[in-house]
Amino acid sequence: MSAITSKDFTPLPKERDMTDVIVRPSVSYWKDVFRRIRSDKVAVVSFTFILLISLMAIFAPIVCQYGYDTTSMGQGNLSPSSEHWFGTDSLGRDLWARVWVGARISLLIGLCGAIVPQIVGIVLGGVAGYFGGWLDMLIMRIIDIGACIPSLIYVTLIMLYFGSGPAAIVLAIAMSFWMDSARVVRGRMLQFKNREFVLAAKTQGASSFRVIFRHILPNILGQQVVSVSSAIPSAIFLEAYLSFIGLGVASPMTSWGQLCQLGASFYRLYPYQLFIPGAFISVTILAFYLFGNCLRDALDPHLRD
Amino acid sequence: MKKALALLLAMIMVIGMLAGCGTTGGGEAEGTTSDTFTMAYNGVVTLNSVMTQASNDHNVLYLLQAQLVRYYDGQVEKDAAESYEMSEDATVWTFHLRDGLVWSNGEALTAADYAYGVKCLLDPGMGSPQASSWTMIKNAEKFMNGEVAWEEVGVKVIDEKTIEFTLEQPLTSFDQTVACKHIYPLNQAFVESVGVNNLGSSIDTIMYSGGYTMTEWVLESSITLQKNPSYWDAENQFQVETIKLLEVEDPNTEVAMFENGEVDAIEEMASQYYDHLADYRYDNAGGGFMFLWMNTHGYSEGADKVMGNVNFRKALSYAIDRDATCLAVDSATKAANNPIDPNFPGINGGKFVDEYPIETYPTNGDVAKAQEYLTKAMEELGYADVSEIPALTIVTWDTAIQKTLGEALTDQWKQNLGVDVQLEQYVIGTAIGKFYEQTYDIFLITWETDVKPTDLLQAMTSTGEANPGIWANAEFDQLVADAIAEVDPAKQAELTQKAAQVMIDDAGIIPLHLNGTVHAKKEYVDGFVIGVSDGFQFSKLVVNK
Repeated sequence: MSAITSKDFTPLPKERDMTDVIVRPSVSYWKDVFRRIRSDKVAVVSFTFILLISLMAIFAPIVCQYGYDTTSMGQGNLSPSSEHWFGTDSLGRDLWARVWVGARISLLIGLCGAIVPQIVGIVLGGVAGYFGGWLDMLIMRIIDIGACIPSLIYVTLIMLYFGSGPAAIVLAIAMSFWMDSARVVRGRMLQFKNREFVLAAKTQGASSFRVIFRHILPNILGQQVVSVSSAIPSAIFLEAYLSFIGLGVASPMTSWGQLCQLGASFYRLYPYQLFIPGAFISVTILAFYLFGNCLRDALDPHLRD
Repeated sequence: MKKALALLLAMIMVIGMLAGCGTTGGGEAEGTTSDTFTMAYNGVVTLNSVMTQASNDHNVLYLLQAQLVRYYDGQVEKDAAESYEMSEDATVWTFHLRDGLVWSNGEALTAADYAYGVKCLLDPGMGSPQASSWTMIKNAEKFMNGEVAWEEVGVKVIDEKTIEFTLEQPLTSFDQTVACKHIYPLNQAFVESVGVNNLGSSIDTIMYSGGYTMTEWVLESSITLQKNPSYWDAENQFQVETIKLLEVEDPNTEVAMFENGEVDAIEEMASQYYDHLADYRYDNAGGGFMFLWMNTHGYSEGADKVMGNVNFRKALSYAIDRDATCLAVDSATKAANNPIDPNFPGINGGKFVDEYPIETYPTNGDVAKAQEYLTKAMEELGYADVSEIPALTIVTWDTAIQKTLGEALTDQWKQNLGVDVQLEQYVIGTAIGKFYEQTYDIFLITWETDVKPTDLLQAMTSTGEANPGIWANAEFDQLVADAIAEVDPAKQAELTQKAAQVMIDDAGIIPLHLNGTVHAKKEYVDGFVIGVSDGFQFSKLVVNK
């Protein structure tokens, strides 16, 4: 019987020690989101489009030779030409200038009108769902009562009190739209707050704030982002509607919705007055929707590849 | 494959939509008898001649009832009355009826029926909304308040064929009032048997005395009228055998039906089709003015000085190219520079505004003159630069057309004068509230012209119903009062002319444009007359199809 000697052993290759070493660089949640967004072609295209529209909205009216509110009576209802790229309206105002000035209002109201109520809804709904008890009771009853009142009443009262302007419109939209998202977020919060990972975080002494915003919220955010992207069109349309019952942005300021409304009555004669702003609304809304969809995929930790 | 299918479906949908936008073919339907006239109509509210207050209802009642007098093409025409005269002091008007007037059921149509028609309008128990139009009749107001009996009221049946009206004050144009405000005959026994509330609720609860009888009435859908052979002048007037009024809700459908030949005329065309149906347009401008109501006390901070300055107000008025504005905003309207409706007849057979013209601003504006007035105003007020003029507000109600009009005005003031005016729009109720609260510098709303030139001027006086206290001119008030009291037509016209001149010179309430409606009629329809405030005048209507 021979003794076991060191010769019987061969050292393991060095690499074996590396098995528990993380080879790939550690990526944070938001970095990962960003990476996935970048690799998605649809997201890149739609985001580029949104960016382009936004830049045009900011700079196009500044460089345009016509004022958006300068009437020119003899020059009414001109078709698109090299002189007026998008033609003119019935008062001879240049539609190129008006479309881009309108874009400012529509985008501002669309974005803020979708995001502001969402933030309010997430905070209130999240708090209600997580803490429960009397706070939940209070917030949910407020929503129950608030939801019974037609949103047009809030909108009208707010607009009458604050006057017409983009800020008042956003406030009015926020007042009536936060309730839906608060309800959804509360439901999701109830679903997640007893899950194991939340328990693990709590066991390690995470504060409620940290648990809500670091651990539960990323799970909910994806859905809410999609609802933001679908709320943008409704905010844009609500503005158009308000404009028409005399509560929208004050004259001579305009918006895409108002341009469409005005163009709609003449569409058999001057179709471009409806279709140009109409195309802008449609394509922008599509871009927001597609981008929101990609963002949802990117934000959802469960869909990570 | 799936994607291709989806794309195809999307394309079919787009094509379908485009097809939907196309103009419908213009082929006329053949074989319709020429003795039928079909019109797309906005619909009636009620055919109860006592309770109605809508011009649409009066249009149908015009076809159904013989009135004492009525309008035709701007002139008063005798209908059931064979002749009428006023007393020398213009306080007593006597109407003599024709021989052989009958209701469609064969009963005799007498002066008592007309008197009862007036009684129903004034009776406080019936609560007719038209009662206030007849307060010029002696004791009518007291009767309405229940203070006197009907016998005391100045409506007297002299005999079967004579009816006499006694008025509170001299009125040389009472015939126009009767024609414009409508007196329909009512048979007392019939009204009492059906009940005044059921009157005119179906074809059986109306007695017919006019050119037509109603043979079918489908609520909110259609009205069919048949020629009434017992009408006194059935031989010469109302030659069209059948008139059909179709209630069409949607303006697009209306136009499609017109193009298909399903209707021969459209009562009110939607503005987006004005140019599309340009060849069939029947324009009707008048009946009311859009005014710029200058609040001479101002409302915005520091605006009292500028708004109180007549030269500043004139500058605002001269700076507007009314012709171009009307054309661009609403081609149914017509630029105006005189507060007297151009449809009003004069006293020598022409139109009032031609016989008694005034000196006024040009309808296409005068920017040089506007700037001159502005400079003068700034000198008087001690402003060195236009920018020192406080920002003003112009308030109106919230339709799209008012918005465009407001924008057109504010931009012209900005471009031509450098004056900033902010447009504010409110829902109609709020806007009217503001009108009376005087919380504006300039207001933009229309006012009806009513029966005769002085009616509107009277409403504009410092105590008038159209003037909430924004503008006062003692000379104007006096001239209007004198004109109303004057019995001699020539003197009255002169005073009216002077009052209009003062109104324009003081630029307190400034006419902007005449309101208008656009009807459409096919080229084969002749004698199609619709008055601005007096509605259908179809007595000579012919369909040559």
